Amino acid sequence: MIGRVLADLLHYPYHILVVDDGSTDQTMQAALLYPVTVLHHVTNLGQGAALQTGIRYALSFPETSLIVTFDADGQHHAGDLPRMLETCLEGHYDIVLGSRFMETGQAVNMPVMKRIVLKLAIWFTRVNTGLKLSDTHNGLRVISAEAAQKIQIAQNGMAHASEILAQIADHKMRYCEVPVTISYSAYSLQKGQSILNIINILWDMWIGYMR
Amino acid sequence: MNFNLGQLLFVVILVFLVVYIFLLRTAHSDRLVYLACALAGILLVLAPDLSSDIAHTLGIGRGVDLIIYVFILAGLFYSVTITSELKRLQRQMTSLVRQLALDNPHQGTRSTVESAEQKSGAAPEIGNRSTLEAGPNPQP
Repeated sequence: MIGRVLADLLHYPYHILVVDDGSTDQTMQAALLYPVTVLHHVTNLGQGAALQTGIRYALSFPETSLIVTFDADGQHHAGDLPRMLETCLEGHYDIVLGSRFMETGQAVNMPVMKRIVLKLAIWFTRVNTGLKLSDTHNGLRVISAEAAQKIQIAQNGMAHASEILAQIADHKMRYCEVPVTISYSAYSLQKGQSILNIINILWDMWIGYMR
Repeated sequence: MNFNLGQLLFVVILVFLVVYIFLLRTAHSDRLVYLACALAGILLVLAPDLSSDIAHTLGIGRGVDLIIYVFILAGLFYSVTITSELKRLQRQMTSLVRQLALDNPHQGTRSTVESAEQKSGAAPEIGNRSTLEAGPNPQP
């Protein structure tokens, strides 16, 4: 799967960084067949931790101007990137978020339960951060280097998506949404969040507040 | 004073606990707390009416109730302490694993795919170098 995602991304002239979060299934070897950089977590920390590691690495290069986060389970389409990057540069946005629920956005094969939970998450974000977004938990984002400096993902697990949004609100970042397509496959659904995990996520957020 | 078998058993267990605590090489403050608990336990076992008397003065029905309340409080305190300790350990592990990853970037092959894949792409002119990052799959 990582191969297919990378092949898709390699159509575009971006620097690709893969964070292997303690995979035990040869993901790193598979990724290293492509002209990409791979960072390897020796043990599994969670997606939030992996994103933070990747952002830290990207920021270590002074020429980095924009950072894209892109899930490696095949749900995103590299074809959405040029539009997002252009939007970010032209509008001088701090962060551009992908949205599957905007008018021309798409969510292919999305299970009904997933739609309900995501809609709840949108409402929750509105109450929690005041951000009025059409899609709050989309892994596809473009972040400017300056904004990325400010974003500190402390949530190692899946609560990082809400954490990023909270920091957008806290730092009063300029943000916008761009319609993107999300394709659900058996693979991405198996790798993705189960509905029950929302309990874990809310618990993580609560613990995060307590610190 | 007559002691029954149950009391004897509890006292023996608690005395073993006290000895064990003294053999532990933990901080003195921790040892003191454990020791105080064990000694209080021995006292309560040997003088069963004591807990009832304390309970009554505090306005709690039975001695057993008092002990249950104290246990619940102690348990809550313990779980909060453990949670924050776990969080601290997790933060340490995260920075350790992250530093290891950042110090050892692996470079994939530069040739094979690049030539094959890149010529088909309608490479957009963005004018800026972007670092693209693929997050991993969350592990089950």
